[in-house]
Formats: sequence, C-alpha cells, structure tokens
Amino acid sequence: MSKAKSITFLSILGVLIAAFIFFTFASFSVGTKDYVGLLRALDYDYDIDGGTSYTLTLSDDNDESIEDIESVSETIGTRLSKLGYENYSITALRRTDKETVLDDVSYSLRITVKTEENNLSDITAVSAYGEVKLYGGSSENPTDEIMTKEKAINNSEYVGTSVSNNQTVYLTSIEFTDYGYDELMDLINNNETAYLKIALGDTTLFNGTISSGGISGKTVYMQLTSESAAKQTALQVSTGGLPYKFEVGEGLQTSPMLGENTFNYVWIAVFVLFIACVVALFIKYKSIATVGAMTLFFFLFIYLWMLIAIPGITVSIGSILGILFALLLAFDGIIISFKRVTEESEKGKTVKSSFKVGYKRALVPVINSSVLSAIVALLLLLFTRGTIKMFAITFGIGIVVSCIACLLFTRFFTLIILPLIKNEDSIIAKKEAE
Amino acid sequence: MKKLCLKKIFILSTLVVVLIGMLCLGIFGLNNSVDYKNAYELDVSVDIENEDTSSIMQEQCKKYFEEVGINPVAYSLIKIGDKSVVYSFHNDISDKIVIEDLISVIKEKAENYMEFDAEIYQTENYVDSQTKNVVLVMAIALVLAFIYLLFMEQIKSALTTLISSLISVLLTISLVSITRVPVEPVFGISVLSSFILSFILSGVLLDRFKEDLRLQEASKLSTCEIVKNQTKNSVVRYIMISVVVLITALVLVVLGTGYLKFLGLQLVLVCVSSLFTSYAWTPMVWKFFNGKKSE
Repeated sequence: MSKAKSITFLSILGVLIAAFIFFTFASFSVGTKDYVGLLRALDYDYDIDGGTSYTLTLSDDNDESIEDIESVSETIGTRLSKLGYENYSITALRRTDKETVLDDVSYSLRITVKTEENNLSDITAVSAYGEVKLYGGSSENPTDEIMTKEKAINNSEYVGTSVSNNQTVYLTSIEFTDYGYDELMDLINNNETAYLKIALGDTTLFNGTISSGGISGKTVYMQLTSESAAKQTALQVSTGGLPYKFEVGEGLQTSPMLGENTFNYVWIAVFVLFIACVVALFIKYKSIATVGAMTLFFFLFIYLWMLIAIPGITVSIGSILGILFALLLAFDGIIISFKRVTEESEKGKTVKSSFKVGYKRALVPVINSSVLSAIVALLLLLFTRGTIKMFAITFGIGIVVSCIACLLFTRFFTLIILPLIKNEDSIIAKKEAE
Repeated sequence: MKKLCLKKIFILSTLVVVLIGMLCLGIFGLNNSVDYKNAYELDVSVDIENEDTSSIMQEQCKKYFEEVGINPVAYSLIKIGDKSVVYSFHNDISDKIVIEDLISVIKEKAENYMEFDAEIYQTENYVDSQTKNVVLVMAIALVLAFIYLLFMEQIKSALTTLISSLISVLLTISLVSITRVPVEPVFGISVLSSFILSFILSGVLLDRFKEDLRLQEASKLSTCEIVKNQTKNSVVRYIMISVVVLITALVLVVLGTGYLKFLGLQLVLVCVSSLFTSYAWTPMVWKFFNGKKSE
C-alpha cells in the first residue's frame, strides 16, 4: 500500500475513533428516543439499571390459607418465562411479628422485573385467580358453565399477527381436546354459529361467536388488539389461574439489584480491561502494538454497535461478563498473532514476510479458540436462561467479532501502518541477545 | 531432579487444594452470601415520598447497624420507590434489631412531621430465572468440544485439553469453597469461564507442541525439550492475561459494592486456576500421553 493511501485510511479511522469517543459521552437521538451517551443506548436489565417491583398481597376473601408458597412462586415464575421474561426474581415474604397467629400466616410476594410498558398487565395475568370456565348461550344471557365433565382445552398459544379490515390483529389459538371439540360442535349444531365465552374467575378472556367454518382442526383463533394481550390470554387459557387470590400493588421503581452505580462500575471495568490490554501490548511488543491497539479499539467499537443494533439484547451482569471475556479472547488472539510474527522475524525473515507467515500460523489457534468458545456459547444459549443466557448471547457475538478482528483487522492495520514506518525493522520488538 | 520436584509440587498442590476445597464444600457448602431462602428482610419506609428522605433513611440505618454490630458486608439493600428501603440479611436479625431504636435513630436527622415504619420479614422462598443446569451444559460442551478437537487435533491433544479444563473447574470450585468468596450472583458463569479460559489457553499451547513435534526430526529436540521450550515461551502470554484480568478484578473489588466485589474476587480465582492449570497441567498431561522420546 502506498504512503498516501495509508494516510487517507488513517485519517478516516481517526475520524471514526473521534466519533466513537464523542458518541460515548454526548447526547443523541435515534427516532423518538433520546440517549445520553452510546452506552445508554444499550438496553439494561434490572440488576444493572434498576427495574420495577410489584408486591402481591393475599386478598382477605381467600377461602384458605397458603400451604405451598413455593409452588405458587414457581408457578408465577414459569408463567413469567412463558410471557418472555428472561430475568426476574420472586421473593415470598412472611411477617415475623410476634403477634402473628400461627394459623393465619400472611404472605406477600415481591416480583422484580425489568421495566416495560406491559409489566402491570403481565403481572396481573400471571397472578390471576380462578379456573378457566366456558359458557354458552348469548352475550346478554350466558348459560351456566359448560364442558365440565373433562378437560376441554388442550393448549393455547400466541400465533402471530394478521390483517383484518385493514387493521393489524394479534392471533391466539385455542386448541380443544376431543371432548371439548365434540361439545363445541354440539353447541354449534345446525345453527352454524354459537356463542362461546371463556372466563378466568371474574375476567372474561374470550367472548364471541364461533362458526363451524372458523374452526381449523380442533383449533379456534381469537383476534386481539395487542401482542401483550394476546400472549397474556394464551397464557391464562392454557395454564388457568392461581388457587389463591392476590391483589397486585402499584409498580415501584427499584434501585439496581447489584448496588447503586453498578452501571458506572461495570463499564469502568470494561474500559480498564481495554486500557490494560493496550498498555500490556505496548510494553511487550513496542511499535507493533499500534496494530494491536487499533484492532482492539475497533473490536470494541463494532462490538458495542452490534449490541445496540441487534434487537432483543438486554444487558445484565452476565452480558457484561460476556463482553469482558470477548475482549480477553480478542486480546489473546492478538498476542498469539504477534508472537508468531516475532518468531518469524527472529528466523531472519523480512518484516513483510514475518507478518504474512506469522498471521498465517496464527490462523489455526485463533479459529480453534473461537470455535470452542462458540460451541459453549451456543449450548448455553439453547439450554439455559436468565443471566447465563445473556452471557451466552453477548459472548457469542463477541466471539464472532473477535475472530474477525484478530484475522482481518490485524492484517488490514498492518498494511496501513507499515508504509508509514521509516525503519521497518524497528516495528518488531525482537528478543534481546542473552 | 528439578523437573521431578516441580512436577511433584504441581500435582501435590493441586491435590491438596482440591481435597481441602471438597472438604470445605462438603462441610460448609458454598457461601451463598445473602441467601434469599431462609433469609430475612427489613423494610424501612416513610409516609411521604421524597428522594432526600430515602438517603437519610439509608444513612441512619447504616449508622444503626454499625452500632448494633452488623457488618456492611452482611446485608444488601435495594430502594423501592422513594418511600422504602429494603435490606436483605443472611442471618436472623430479629434479635439484633429493635425497631423502635432504629426509627428513633432515623428520626435524629429527619423532619418531625415524617412518620417512619420498619417491619421484619422472613423470606419463605426465592425464585429467579437463573438456570440450574449449568453442569449439564458443561458436560455437553465437553463432549462436543472433544469431538471437535478429535477432528482438528490428535486424540492425545483432545484428551489433554479436556483433562486440563476439568482440573481448572475443580480448582475454581475448590478455591471458592476454601476462600469462602460469596458465589452470588454469577457463580455458574465463573465456573464456565474457568472452563472456557483453560480450554483456550491449553489449546494454543498444544498447537505449539504439535508444531514442534512436526519439526522434531529436523530439530532433534526430545518431547521434554519441546514441552519445556514452548511452556517457557507461553509464560509471557500467561503473565499478560493474568495481569489484565487482575487489574480489572481489582477495579470491581475496589469500586463495587456487595455483589460486584464478589464478582471481582471470583474473576481472580478463575484467572488463577485457569492459568495454573494451563501452565502446570497441560504440559504434564500431554507429555504423559506422548511418552518420553529420546531424552
């Protein structure tokens, strides 16, 4: 590469570096959202950035006291997972007042989740009371409960979106059992349509007319106006309600579970690791470390932008660990490459040849490390949830970016830097004679 | 003689640490710090919503806890809204904390018209979304990684990497048990990280052995000499990685409160066990599998 091209590329890179540093601290808007700094553009979970807490207190009109609070907590947890909550905590609390009568233990549940618009409706849905009951007749005059002899509904799922009368609607399927289907067909009979109401306790989940043509297999589809409502309805129809009645308190902002200023501390740790890696490279490899420093910088740059750009990524403490280990992987890859380059240079090869052969020799170990790490990350993604799954997601993305950085960026930056060095032999720090 | 001594030291020290660690694990279990099941909560609240009052409550509560001998490390706190601060304790604090005394300490700095209340709860159950099957995932990862290494390397190298990684995980768990570093909130990730880091470090070292083995005839080096040279060459890499990780861990330990400190300490232990295993065990195991050729 000619000197002029090198200078041009370096100038462009310099502008990108400046932009990155600027956006890290400056405020900017994307669409309707305002961000204070690049790091704030990431979506954080409640352990780092605080969340919302809901307290469920046992209603006074419960017929019986709770005997199995663990089972209630587990059920709520399973339902939250079904609604798409990756990270949550549920604490069952009992007052320890000396005056409390042993037979009248009062429990409350505190659910802490990441703050979202639908939190309250989701928490209300997962803690709803009662059993799923079906009714026929008409909307003005529903009959008594029908389909009581056996289980009538097999499953209910959120299906997706559809367009009806130029409006987007959200579909939930209700799959009936053989018994339920037969009862439904009897209900429809010769009228071709029938009224069906599905309720959970006092809440109506479905209320409308079903035609024989509207049944596909044994499945009926409901149209709802929002995705959250469709998912909640599917959950409630398929799992029913809790055996105890809870009152849901208002949502209150909670501080980060990991302590105040967690956001600042974790990012300071990431940047300290970055600086430490760069300094270590300069101490060991002298001039060649410029290539390493630029590689690490652009690794971090692209990595953070990917975490912002890829939808659905929520950063928790597991994600921060994923970022740290991905940075470490990139650092290790750079050391492997530079070590090979130095060895080739010590054999007497020219600088360009040393870089070429050294990078080639580093290919296999770097790819091996990346593939092995990727195997673990993929397994974690498939078989775990919560913080570990978030670690897997960010670490997995980091593996891809670090592999590209170690194999491509190092070569590219070497091509840019080399023409600008007057004494090419000085770029590689060789072993001093013993 | 010197080589034999070093080998014995590595094996002995690993055995001692693992033995003591497993003993500690069996007797005391892992240190769950603020274990939410069978733990206690103190909810301190005020009747008027005010951000300043929340800070006063925290400050005065901390003062009261110090007076009654409750160490700051023994609890964690979260603010709920602007009217409540919730403290979580590992042990029963209902004998140490007198509600009336606590409230009078808080009122020393608060306005007279504010009413405070405090209640102690016992945590009956705690459920979170964290997965429990990390061991299963690690076992599957081990098998898949072994299969991958079989394709890329010899079976001896694959076995060496696996054994080193397992030893690293054992060492990590043992060190955590011995040092009583609290394991919340990300112990599963720390164990996996130890596994991954050891895998990567060992893999690269074995690649070096493989390269030199290929050139063994021309270089006339024995297996022992290959192992010695390449292990020596890798020392700088190990030092660089350990230093940067330790610096990062130090930042978390110094700056962080509660869980972040524990995380930093866990990172230190992960780093120590992975690097020790890669430096000490990987060459030993590889040499064992490859036998002694023309010393």
